[in-house]
Amino acid sequence: MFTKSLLENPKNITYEGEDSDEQILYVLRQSFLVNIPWVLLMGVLVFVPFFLFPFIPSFISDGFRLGSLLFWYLIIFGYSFQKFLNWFFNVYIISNKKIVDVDFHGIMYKNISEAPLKSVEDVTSTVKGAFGIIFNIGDVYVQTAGESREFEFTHVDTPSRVRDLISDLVARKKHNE
Amino acid sequence: MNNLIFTDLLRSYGNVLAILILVLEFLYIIFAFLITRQVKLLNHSFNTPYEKTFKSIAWIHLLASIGVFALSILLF
Repeated sequence: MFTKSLLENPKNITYEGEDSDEQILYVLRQSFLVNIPWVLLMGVLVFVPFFLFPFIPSFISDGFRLGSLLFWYLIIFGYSFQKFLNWFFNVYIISNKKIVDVDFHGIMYKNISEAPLKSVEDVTSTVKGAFGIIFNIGDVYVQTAGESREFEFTHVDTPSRVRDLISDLVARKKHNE
Repeated sequence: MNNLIFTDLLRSYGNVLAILILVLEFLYIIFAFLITRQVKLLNHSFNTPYEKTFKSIAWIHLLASIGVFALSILLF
């Protein structure tokens, strides 16, 4: 299901820069619940024209009203689609070789950063706020060696489980080498 | 006389509003086109089984925005 925050051994998923001998083990994204604020906002905006129509001056033609109404719903759809894409494609990929953070913001910004699993030094998870505690949503920080690079997996479901999965994977990787 | 001036004012106000909406709709077509490019880029960076679905939605959205613009020219 595409609404899942954590996908284990996902099928038919590849990413830019994937090695031929690499296998994606986990794909993480923010909890689906982070979409609730904009979904609610769009839900309210859908009904705005019904409240505004009685106040539209009579000199505005019916054609103008219809055109504006269609444009209004097009904007709502476009904005929702854009927000959904931002959520869906902002992923953290954990493969048998590395950790990859794929970031997209709006339609103009793209950032992909990666670090080998063996360079991971410390994994921390945090759950904070009432929302986080109620729904078990939090952040996972992955500290890598060398430069002071930190991967930040924000608003993920079950952060302690994610931390545990990464820690175990890193421990196995280091043990095998 | 006063009534005629008032009617003319309202009509010109309506025309300005119509032109403004048409300009916004034209700008929206550019935004919709950028979304189709974005979807292509996103699918390239992170490929999932939903690639075709996203691509179709983006193109339908672009066609709809062109359709609304054309319809508005006819209706306004």
